[in-house]
Amino acid sequence: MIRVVDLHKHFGALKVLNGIDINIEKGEKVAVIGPSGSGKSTFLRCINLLEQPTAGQIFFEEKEITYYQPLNKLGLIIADKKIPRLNKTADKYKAKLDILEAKLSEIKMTNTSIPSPEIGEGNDSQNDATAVDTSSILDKQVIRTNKKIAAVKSKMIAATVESESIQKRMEINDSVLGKPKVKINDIRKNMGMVFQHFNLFPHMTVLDNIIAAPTESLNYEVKKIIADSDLTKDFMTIEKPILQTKKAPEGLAKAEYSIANKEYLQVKAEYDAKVKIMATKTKAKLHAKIKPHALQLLERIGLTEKALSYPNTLSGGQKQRIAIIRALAMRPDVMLFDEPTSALDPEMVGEVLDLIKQLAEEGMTMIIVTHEMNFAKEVATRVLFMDGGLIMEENTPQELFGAPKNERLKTFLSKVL
Amino acid sequence: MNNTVLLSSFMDSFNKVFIEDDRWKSYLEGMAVTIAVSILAIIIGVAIGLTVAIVKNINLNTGKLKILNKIGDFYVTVIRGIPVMVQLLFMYFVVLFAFDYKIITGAIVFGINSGAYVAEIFRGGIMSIDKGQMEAGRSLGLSYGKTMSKVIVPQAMKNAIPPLGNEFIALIKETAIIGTIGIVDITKAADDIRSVTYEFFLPLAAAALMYLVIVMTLTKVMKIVERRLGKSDTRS
Repeated sequence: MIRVVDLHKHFGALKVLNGIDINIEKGEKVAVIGPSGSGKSTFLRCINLLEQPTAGQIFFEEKEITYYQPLNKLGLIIADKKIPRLNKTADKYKAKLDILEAKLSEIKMTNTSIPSPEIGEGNDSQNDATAVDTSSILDKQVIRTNKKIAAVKSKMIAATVESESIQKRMEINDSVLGKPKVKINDIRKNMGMVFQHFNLFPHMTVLDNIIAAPTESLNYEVKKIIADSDLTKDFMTIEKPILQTKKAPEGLAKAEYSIANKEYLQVKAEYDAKVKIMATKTKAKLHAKIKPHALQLLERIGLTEKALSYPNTLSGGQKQRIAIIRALAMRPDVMLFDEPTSALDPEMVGEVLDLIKQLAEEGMTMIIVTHEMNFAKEVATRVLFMDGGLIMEENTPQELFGAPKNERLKTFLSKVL
Repeated sequence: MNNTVLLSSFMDSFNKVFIEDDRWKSYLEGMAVTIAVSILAIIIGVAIGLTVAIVKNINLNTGKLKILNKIGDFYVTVIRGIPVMVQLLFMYFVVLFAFDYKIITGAIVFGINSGAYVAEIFRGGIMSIDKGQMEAGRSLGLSYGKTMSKVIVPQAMKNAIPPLGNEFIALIKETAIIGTIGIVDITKAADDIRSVTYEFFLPLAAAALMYLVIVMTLTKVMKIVERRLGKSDTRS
């Protein structure tokens, strides 16, 4: 259902994802665990393109959803020029770094060669003072040099990573040329997402929060239904004369062509009229369904009486459960959970996890980034351990928690379990 | 004895300033002009300000609309850097010299001037909204524009109301200089009567009172709007 191929994401000088490959089948419940800063959330946010990846491909139901603006000629020239310059800068900083490190070790050498005040003659207080002075000066020098080294290092890394990013960009340029731009808004309608901080709309009532997105995407739904209808299928079977050209196509007499054209236009006009009627009808039908569906979802989580309250009046657990059903109101095929319980009071965690568990039992495909190891153990069919922007280990929860193979995973588990 | 003299001299002044030649009418006419110019200017200012703020926000988020963003920057810089008096004279004598409707000219000047400030107010309002709101909207499949109009701008409006009220009040009082291009507003009417009657206190006090009434009314209106937009804040 979701296939990710060699996904990279760089934030400036920071390489967050370094080549993720994974294939998630329909009905799977995938838990993603890992230390903070390992790129779990970024990975999740790349899947519905809330973050634009630097390189790599993501397929949703075998349709590629990643889109990269191809570099034009000017862009390519600039990139070509930029890479050597960045590499040069990186080299320059590397040389500086070497000098600084040499200097540092030199300072340290002199530091140890100075007799420390304890060993010096205790009676001569003046001598003592100067010794302390020089050592403190040297200490300061060490600190200063260390600071310089850190600054130079970060600049060097920034230059290197930027040049790498541009290189990646150029590498994929040929492959992205001519690919159609994906309508990401339509893809996202099939992917529900739940955030750590709920992100309910505070100026809308709970009910409005739930029905806002379905109401706004009515036209999309109507279009989809019409495209799938028999009416459209029948219409598509009719052979199309070339309408755009004023001239008759070759081998066809002008009169003949214009008759064909006229007939086609007549059929098309009929079809358009029918579609228009159908669209209004379908829209009204769908519109009438939205509110009952929302109320049904609210009833499911037992918050019907909160339908007309504002989110500010709710507890964290209630907010998060409403955020979940807000995503469900779009009838998504897959749900993405980004640390859904991390911002909750401990007593509220249970109710949210229960709801997610229910969804899992109903067969919803889901990807859950979580710190709740027990929950991952219980619900997930597969667990991914991420570290340093890579999937270090993936396995069934029994295997992964019971017999971890990766060293980092072992240390991680020993800390959190 | 003394009191009666004072009273009669006051009645005399009052008569001269308000009653003679139906002078009270020109105050009211001036008030109408001030209100008309202010309302027109507020409408123009909000329209310009919202547009500039959204353009800037789109540029900040997506990097698109570079040229429009530059124009917006230029507009805000120039307008905020020049006294409104100079803008007024410039518009009247240079740009719209062939345009007959002085009141419209005045409204345009104050509208354009106010737009620059309103733009910054709205920009601040939009920036004050948590990034998660945009992400939540987008993750539900709403387009950037839809998320902006349904989620971000309504919340930004609420945050922008208090500074916006400030801006409108400043705008109304600034219109007092509109007399320099020959429009008879409250200030000009009072000043004209002062120069005819040689009475200083009463005409100016009347003008001051009228401005005060307008501003107080506006404050009341803004408060009502604020309360209505802020109903989601009440924890009940």
